[in-house]
Amino acid sequence: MHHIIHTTQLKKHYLVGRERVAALAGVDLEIARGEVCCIIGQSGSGKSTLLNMLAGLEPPSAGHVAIAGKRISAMDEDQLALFRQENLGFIFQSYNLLPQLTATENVALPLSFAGVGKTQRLEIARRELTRVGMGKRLDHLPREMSGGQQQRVGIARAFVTRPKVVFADEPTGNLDTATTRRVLRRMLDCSARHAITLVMVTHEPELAQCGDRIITLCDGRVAENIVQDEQTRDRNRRLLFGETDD
Amino acid sequence: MHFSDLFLFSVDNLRRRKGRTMLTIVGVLVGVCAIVVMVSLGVAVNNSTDEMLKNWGDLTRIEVSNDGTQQNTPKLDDSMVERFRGISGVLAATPAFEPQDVSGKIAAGPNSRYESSGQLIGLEPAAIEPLGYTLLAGSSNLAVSSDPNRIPVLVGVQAPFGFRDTQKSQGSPDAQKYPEYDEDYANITNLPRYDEQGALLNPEEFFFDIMHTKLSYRMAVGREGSGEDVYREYELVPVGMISGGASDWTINSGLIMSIESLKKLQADARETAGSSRGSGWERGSSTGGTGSGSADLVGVSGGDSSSDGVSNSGVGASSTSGKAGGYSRVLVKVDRVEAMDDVERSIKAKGYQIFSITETRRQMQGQVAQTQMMLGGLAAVSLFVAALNIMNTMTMAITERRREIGIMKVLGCELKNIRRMFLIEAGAIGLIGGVAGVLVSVLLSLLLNNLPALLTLLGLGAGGIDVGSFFGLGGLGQTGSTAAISVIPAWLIGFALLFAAAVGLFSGVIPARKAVRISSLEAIRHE
Repeated sequence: MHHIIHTTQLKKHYLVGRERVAALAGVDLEIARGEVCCIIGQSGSGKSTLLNMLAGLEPPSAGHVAIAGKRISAMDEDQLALFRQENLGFIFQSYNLLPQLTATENVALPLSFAGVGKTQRLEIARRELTRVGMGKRLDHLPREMSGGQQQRVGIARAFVTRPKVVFADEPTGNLDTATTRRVLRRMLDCSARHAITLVMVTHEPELAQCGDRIITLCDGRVAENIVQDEQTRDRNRRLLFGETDD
Repeated sequence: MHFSDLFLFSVDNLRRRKGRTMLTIVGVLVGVCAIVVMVSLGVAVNNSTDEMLKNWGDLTRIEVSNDGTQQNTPKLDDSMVERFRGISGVLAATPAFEPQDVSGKIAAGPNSRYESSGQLIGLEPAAIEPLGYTLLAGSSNLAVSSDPNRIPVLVGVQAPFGFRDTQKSQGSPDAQKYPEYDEDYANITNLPRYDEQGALLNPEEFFFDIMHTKLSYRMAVGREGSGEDVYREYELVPVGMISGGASDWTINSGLIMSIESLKKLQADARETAGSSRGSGWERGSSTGGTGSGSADLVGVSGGDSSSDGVSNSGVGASSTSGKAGGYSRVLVKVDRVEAMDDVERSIKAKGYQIFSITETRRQMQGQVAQTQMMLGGLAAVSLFVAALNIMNTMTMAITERRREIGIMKVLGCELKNIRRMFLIEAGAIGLIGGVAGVLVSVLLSLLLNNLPALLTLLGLGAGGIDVGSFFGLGGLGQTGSTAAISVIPAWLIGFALLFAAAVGLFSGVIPARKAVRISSLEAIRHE
């Protein structure tokens, strides 16, 4: 019961011309509640495909995915949308803020989908933004912010609904090293503060070291599934972040 | 998601692409404007035909006739009149009895100097008031007097013009008094006018005051062996003067009596004439001179008298009774215009021909509607193009926003809300276009209605525009110079707005479906 995400024999095939290519060739996973799970692997190892299927963005060819006891692989589009609204957050590599909305409005967007009134959701969004250190950029449009700032807005947007799981797809892929560390720390903070499970895909093995669980994919299969104890994890985090503040 | 949030989101999206939105709106504007202006022209024509028909006569009167050509049509007799009275909505029904075998001359003045061959019309006295005839003087009491030779009559308002001075030669201009018309030929200006005491106010217009002159009716009852006509004489006692309105010529120029009296006359005519009757009436030697004036006598139904008294076989296709017997014409008064359709339908169902202003109006409106339909069709084409335009705009917007839609899906926006968002956008384009279209139409309408004045102002001369003739109703006395050319009623505005919004919404359906189908994977596709 403490497993929030559970997959059995998850498979995904793509048709390339007439050839069937297996992106995932049977993945069995269990991710515990509150865990920070990092998925690493070479390009083409299937890590993005896995994330998409865990988040219900793509249906599996075979096998199934359950989150919080619900089989999302059996849901239709409508049910999935509602499920994502209530249970999932998502952080994108290219931030994906809506260009016409201010930082606050972007963060408030998932709340508006859930039917939260305007005044209330803007208030909640402002609080969330302040927490990720964006208190001075509340009314800025995305184009007026740096990549790191935009991604912090993205983080606030993912966590603002207090979902059960937040998925992050190469969240620091477009950022420089220093910014990457600051952004990553914000994510880990948010996850820890509300005990929200974080599933992050990255291609940088050193970033993955800060997770509780590190899953290495190779050719669509789980090559390694390591669970780190807290001491190791915290040591790795200290090594990674050093004395960076912000 | 709240509707207000959806709405603001949609409006925001429209604002982001001002240029394109504006162009699409202009497309809708042109379409709506075309339709509204076309319909407004038709409304104006219908309004003025209504106005015109009101002058023609009573909208709630039906004339039922039986021309005797239909084999299976039942007799138009008293029992049928009684059945008409029983139809729901019917206020009164009376035959307009004009027996062909009663003919004679009405004479007045010293030595019967003035003569008229006025038509006698028999009407049911009780029906006169409901039929809406206006009493201009005296009373409408046609109660039969004890003396069978004194017959009370109502004089039609134009009947005085039917008298001819027999002492003047027939062609001479002063042998008769003529009605004078106003500029539009719509009204007679020199009709008799009586004050409250019953005194004639304009005696100079007439040979004599018909209300206060002894009238005698000389009924032809046959011819003696020598060829001399045989008459029987009655006194007609005018009790009042009535007007049947601008269009009821028969009533206006006739002499109306109770149908009972007229049936009595008819019976007298037959009895006295014996076998020699039917040769027609010719001028008797006693009056001297040649030719005759003309006037009609009209009879009002006595109600209970049997229809046998009416049936008439001698004079062929008489106007009184068809081959099958019975009356040729019955007047039916309906209590309100809305009931006309039903009453007319049930009378027609019995096999009779009917005439009513309402029926005429329906035909005219049908004609206008047809023309309007054609023009409306052309206008609808432009609105259809506008709809395609909206579809195109929305499809482009969705193609451009694939990523945005993907992101919203990933963030948990329900499909129905995505669909609504685009439907609102499309509907808003339609509605805004509709509002703009209505505004422009109102301006155009103002411009059209003031066109003659404007042209005069510009020194181009005022050519009246006859929209009526444009709608195939020319020559009905309607000229565009006085009546409004374009009328936009409130319902047209409401309809235009609703229709425009509906067209917008409808155009948004396919693009919205397309938007819903966009995969949420669009959000994570890397550029």
